[in-house]
Amino acid sequence: MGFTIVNSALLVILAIIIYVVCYVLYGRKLLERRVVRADPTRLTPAWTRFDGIDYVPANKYVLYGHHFASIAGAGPIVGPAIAMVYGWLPCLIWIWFGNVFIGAVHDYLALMASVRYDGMSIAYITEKIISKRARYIFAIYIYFTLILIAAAFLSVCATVFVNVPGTATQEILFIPLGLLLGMLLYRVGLSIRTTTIIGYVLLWAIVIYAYFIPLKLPYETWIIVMTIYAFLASWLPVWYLLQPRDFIQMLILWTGLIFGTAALIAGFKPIEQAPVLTLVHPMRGPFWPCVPLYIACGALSGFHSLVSSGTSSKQLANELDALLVGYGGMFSEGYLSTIVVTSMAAFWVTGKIEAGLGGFLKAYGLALQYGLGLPAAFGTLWAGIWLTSFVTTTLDTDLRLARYIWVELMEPIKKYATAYKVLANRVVASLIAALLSFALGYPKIYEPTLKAWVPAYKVLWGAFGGMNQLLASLALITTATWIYGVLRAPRGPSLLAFVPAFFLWITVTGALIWWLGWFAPPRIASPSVVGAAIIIGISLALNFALLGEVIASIRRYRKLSS
Amino acid sequence: MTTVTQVERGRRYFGMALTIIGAILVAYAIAIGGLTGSIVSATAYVATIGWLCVMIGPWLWYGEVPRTVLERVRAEVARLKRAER
Repeated sequence: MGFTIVNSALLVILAIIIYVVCYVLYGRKLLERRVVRADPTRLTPAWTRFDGIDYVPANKYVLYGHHFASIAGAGPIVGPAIAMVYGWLPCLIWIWFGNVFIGAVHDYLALMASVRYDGMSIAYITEKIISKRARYIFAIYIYFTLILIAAAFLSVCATVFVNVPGTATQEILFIPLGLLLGMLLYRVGLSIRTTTIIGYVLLWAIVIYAYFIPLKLPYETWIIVMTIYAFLASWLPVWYLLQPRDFIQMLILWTGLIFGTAALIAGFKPIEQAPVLTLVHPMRGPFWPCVPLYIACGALSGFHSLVSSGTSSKQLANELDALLVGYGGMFSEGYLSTIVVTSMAAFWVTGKIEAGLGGFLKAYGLALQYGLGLPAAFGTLWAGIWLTSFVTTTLDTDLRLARYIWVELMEPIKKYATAYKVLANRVVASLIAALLSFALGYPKIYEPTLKAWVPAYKVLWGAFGGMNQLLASLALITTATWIYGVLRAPRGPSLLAFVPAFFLWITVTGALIWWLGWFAPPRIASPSVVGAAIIIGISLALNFALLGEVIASIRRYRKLSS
Repeated sequence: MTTVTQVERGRRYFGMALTIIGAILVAYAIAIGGLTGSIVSATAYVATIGWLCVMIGPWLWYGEVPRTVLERVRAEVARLKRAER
């Protein structure tokens, strides 16, 4: 079905207008000033609890880079690319609606709540706001989600390295570049502007080298290498590795976004062959609730609350920086998804460029060729670099967060000093998370509909997406309770968080039950699917238990206020 | 005390060696890639090993927090606390 009056330029410009207007009116004027009442004179945990490992104050643009790079994993690219089976219209509507009313609100509130609670995780905040039992239920749920995310991303990463080997070359060279920039910034004492210029020049040198020189290893080897990488990066200090490396990722992301925006606007490509709306897909199921399930981080993501309350809140130097980092970070990610959907819709060729990761890589290459006259192969490489940069940062942030949560879960055994010392050790905690993720992400899965062995992410994506979205609704319910019970905001602002949170909770709980009962376990026999199904089954039970705790706490607050 | 210093010194030298070896391995793979047009088989493994060495080396070499960063943060915290008062 065609829809030729719509073109690529129209969709991109519409998205920019929506994001700018909502950032100012909804974010700054409503959330920052009326709901949270951010105070620039209040010392943040990055200063008060500085330790040089996790608590390190960062320049707001550096932190925006780290936050953005951490939240923008494969989700905003792979999710919409898969969800395009339902057509471009539901994808764009869900991305924009989800961003403005759910995702960005959720990220910003989680960041600010954590800053006000000494940079502690969302699970710890749950104890302070709801109950101790809720904290542990939430923490176990989060831990499972993080393992599924890491498993899916390991598989995505290895797939892209094999399919576009130039991306592997750039990844090997980006880490030394990140370390070099970290040294220049923190040890040599160069200004952020000079460091950025040096970084940007070297970045282009690497991209040009990677364009000509691919690095080739088998899929299974990449899974092993990336597991070792994620394990190491999840416990090394942030100052020399994560902050500078993520700053480079931000440069990549923005260059890619600017290229994509310019190409899609200049190209003015009518949307002709891409489906507008497909109500039911024979393999993937009905468009609702599957669109929210697959799009995941492009619209909203529970993982963001973990990044916000895990690494970002510990590095925020000023409360006023939180809007750019938390709220702006989510909008940037939504805009990235908009570029993905628009390029795929504009360059869709039935039978050749369709829904899926490969479809996006080709479509972005063609968009750059059509709009800017650049070689399509270069565009495809850039899209791959884009994707793998974010997958790797998300991988190590994910395991870092799993480590934090694991250590929090070990608190009840603190009285057994030796056991606690071993189990809460940061290297041991990271190793456990890395091994669990590896076990789920390593084996390929036999997909009966396609009659082929596919990388694990192709089947686990729905499971990870559902767990992740449900986590978002639970985190948003927690922060809404914070606004209502602790900040004592009027009923209106509290409802701004409660209404989308419950809407999302109903949608995603339904979607996960569908994945568990109809999509994966009944059709596919694989150790990864069985592992994921067990995780989802337990998590759904935890989800209902947590909702009960939330309702009890809201009743308590209502009693207190009356 | 002397032992701690020696252990610390040993750790630093090891970190420095690891960083330099890692950088050499990555540079070797880049050079071979430049000459042959791709980084494959044994060279690819050399590149990934070098990459991991470069990641972990500086941590052993410089430790958890470099003194310059520590001093900068301490000075800033003192300034902010004065401003708050």
